[in-house]
Amino acid sequence: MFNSKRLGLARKRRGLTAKGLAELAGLSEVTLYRVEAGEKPDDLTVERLAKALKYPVEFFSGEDPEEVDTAAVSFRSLTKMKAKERDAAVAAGAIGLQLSDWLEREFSLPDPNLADLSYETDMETAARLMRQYWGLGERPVGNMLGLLEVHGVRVFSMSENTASVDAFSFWRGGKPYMFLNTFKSAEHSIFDAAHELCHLVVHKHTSPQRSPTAEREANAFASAFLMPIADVRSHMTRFITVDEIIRAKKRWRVSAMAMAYRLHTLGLLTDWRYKSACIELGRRGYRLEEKDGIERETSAVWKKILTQLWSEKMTKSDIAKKLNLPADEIENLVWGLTGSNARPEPVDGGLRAIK
Amino acid sequence: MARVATVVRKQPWDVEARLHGLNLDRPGMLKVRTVARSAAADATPFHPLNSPGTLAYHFGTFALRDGNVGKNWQVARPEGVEGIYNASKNILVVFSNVDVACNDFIEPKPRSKKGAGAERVAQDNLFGALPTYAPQPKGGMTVFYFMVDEKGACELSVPVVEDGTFTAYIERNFLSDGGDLADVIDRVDNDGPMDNFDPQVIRKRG
Repeated sequence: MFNSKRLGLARKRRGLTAKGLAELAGLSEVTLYRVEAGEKPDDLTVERLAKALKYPVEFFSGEDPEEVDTAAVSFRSLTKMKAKERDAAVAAGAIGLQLSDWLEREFSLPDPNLADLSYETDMETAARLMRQYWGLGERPVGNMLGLLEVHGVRVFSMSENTASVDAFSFWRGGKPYMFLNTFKSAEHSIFDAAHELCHLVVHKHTSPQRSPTAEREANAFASAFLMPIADVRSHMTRFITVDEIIRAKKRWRVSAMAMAYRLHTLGLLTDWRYKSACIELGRRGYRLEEKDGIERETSAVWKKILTQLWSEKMTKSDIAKKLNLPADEIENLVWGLTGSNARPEPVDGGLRAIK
Repeated sequence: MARVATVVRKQPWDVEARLHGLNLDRPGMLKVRTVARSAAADATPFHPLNSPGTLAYHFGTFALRDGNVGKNWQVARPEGVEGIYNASKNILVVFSNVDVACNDFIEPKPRSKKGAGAERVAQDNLFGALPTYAPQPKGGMTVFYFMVDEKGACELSVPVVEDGTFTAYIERNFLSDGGDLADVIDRVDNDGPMDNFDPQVIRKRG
């Protein structure tokens, strides 16, 4: 039975308008509107649509896809984002939930272990409480992705080739989900992850619609979480130069701009010196790219899963077939999280089978 | 004419023992160096051309006092020479930018001309460099210069100051060749990032 909602989902994932899809599939706009409105198409039309969208024909005959509540999705660059980009990103969330459901059936993943800090209004305190809750002390987080996965956050990639989509997160069935745009720099993704962590623990019970205030709070939380005040103070010299900012960013695994901002927030850079540092960093090209950046963090969960599946002779393409999804969608959801597309190597402390 | 041979200490244990005898310590002196060089690097194209050296001198002198004034040391500026003075040892320590420090083959020269006051203050150093038959002054103050070059190499040395420059050395104590400065943040990292996270993933049996 053809499901028009699935057609809409696939179209949004491909970033196509109804008119664009009609042209691509060699159909009239009227035909497409009717199909999307619920009219049952003939087999040839379905084949044309599937071919145009590069989705398997079987995808269009499943149940209604679970839609991510767009109000619950927090986008960092709301003002810059186009509706098409937003729809594609949210649709990636819907596809991700299908993959996640399959994973939960096949694997036992870490239980969620996040503090509820919705009562906290000071982000410096909230970040400190979250660190205490996880026993991190004042030390830098050397693997943000691993930290989130250990504590039960379901992390997916959203390799959207656009600068205006950063990340989004939401709770579903008592489990925290996070989608990160791994097209960004490693430092940017780490900051995004900490930003989304704030939404998950601080804005858990607030209105799903993310306000500019919530976004500012999340940025402050991420800054404090990644660069704890005592650690920064104790490791920075009294007079901080741009070169020192560039060296220091590696310790806390943040961008040079985020490092400078934190130092300014902590009073270690005066207004004038902060302004000068920003100008100098911009001059050196740090606004456009993160030079001499750190290695991208990869997902330990995905590595273990793919290693296990590989041992069972199952690839990402096989997962795609099981879920009636195109292989590139599965690739998108794990791209940048697994390090490479090469065959994953067995890792220490790998999977254990429950007998 | 016979002259006093320069005493050069290069081995860390030797240098540290000497510093200890002067009521100073190596980490403290290296911190002065780091502060000075960091301040020098703050100069932008909008600053006057001599700003790196000026900033290094100002903040180097500040750090020298900030880290030492207390039990053994006090702020001193005899003849307008800014430094710290240790009354029990009768020594003055002054910050100075130099062209090259901690080099076996090149003796440091100050990057700016020393004034008459510097020569007068260091006159007891001068007597030390004279031929051994010259009468040694009794109870004269010894002036140490904490010399820092642009690469962060530094030494604590007693020069003879003549004609606005350092013409000879009574002693030189090598503290660092500057190799540790570039990595100053990582160097003090003995509490590095936490990254040992291993999420448990268990395959369910159908």
